[in-house]
Amino acid sequence: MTYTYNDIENYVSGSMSAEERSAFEQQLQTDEQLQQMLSSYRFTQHTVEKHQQAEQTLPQLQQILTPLTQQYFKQEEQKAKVIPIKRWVYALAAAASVALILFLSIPGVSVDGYPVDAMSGAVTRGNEDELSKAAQLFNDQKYADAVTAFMQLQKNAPDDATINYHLGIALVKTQQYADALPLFETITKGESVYKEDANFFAALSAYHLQQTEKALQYADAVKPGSRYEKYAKALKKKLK
Amino acid sequence: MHEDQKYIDALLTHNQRLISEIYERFAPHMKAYLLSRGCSEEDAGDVFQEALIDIYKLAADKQFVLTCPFEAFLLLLCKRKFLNKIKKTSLKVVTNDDDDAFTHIPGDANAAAEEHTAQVEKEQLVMLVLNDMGNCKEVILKSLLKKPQEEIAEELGMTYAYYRKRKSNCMGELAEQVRNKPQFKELML
Repeated sequence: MTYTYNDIENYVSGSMSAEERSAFEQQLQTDEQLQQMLSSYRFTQHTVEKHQQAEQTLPQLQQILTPLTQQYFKQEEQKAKVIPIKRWVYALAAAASVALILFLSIPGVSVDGYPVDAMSGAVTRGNEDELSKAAQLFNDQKYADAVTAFMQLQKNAPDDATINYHLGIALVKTQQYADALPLFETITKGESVYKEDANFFAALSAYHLQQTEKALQYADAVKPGSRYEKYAKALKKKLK
Repeated sequence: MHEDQKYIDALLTHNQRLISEIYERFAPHMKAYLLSRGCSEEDAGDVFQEALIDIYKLAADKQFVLTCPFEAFLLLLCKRKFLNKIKKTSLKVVTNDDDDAFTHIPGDANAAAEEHTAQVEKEQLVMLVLNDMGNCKEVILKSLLKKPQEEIAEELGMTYAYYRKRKSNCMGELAEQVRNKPQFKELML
């Protein structure tokens, strides 16, 4: 008998009858292709489960790793801040002479230094509905709490671009890029006012997820003149 | 199990003191190696941190057993990551005859480090394939959420029966695509 992955799913999940299971296991003993299919199925399923589990707690780990990486890999920059006064004058002159080049080529623009607008509709007296509270949390940069609040709102309005856009940014701010990316991707395909800006945040999320091609694709879609243009350029520079 | 398993556990439990020790013990060596190959400090930091995250993901199910010195595994992983970065971009690597002085790992440790690194790369391949699977990716990832499958089917706008079929088709497609990847076959050798 030729087994499919549907049969394998039934076998793995214990949905086969005793007879079916027995026949499956009998064929498994001699059928090399079936052995490979089962092995690959189990491996991929386990890997995806494991990585998803790791993604949940990754932001906490990154909060420990990132400062240490800065400390151990960017010591030269830190040392450079302590400059004798005479050298400081030369440095200033040199800095002025290359200012135009710096401006044009945008080095030093951090991809994570992008601006974020305050969300309108934040809580005002007598208007303490859930959206207002979420907006207030967002504007107070309490992004982890904002994520929870927006997710609650999203349940009743899954296609609301305003909620999804701000939820996406709150997810990015809490380094939950895997959850943020699909939100921004959907927004870029829609017609909301967030469509253009979502290209940058989709690129940023993909960049942090190491999805280079996707990051480049969305960074390229950031239009010239957009306030996120220079950050998109900085991001492309890092990717290339 | 190698005594350096403590570093794996430290990553899993977010143990600040031991994670700092990882940087203190291994970062300077790794930085020196990567800079000697033409890598910038910033990229070297990225490579190092990404390698630690790869190890964290590999060990996330708490089943991973380290059978070589942590440094040997980390070193090999960083080296591979850096070489992959070069392949993806057009960066030129600095050729250096002193390579072995930095990356030489003795006998058994090397074989174990190779095995651990191959496991990381196999898992990364699965996640790369999944990322390009569009709607199937959504179905697979949602199916892993800790909530009733009937509820997930509803969220996806599918009947429960169709959702179950779609889920197994998607998982099957993922498994088949991974199985047929030449890189996967190479890593299985």
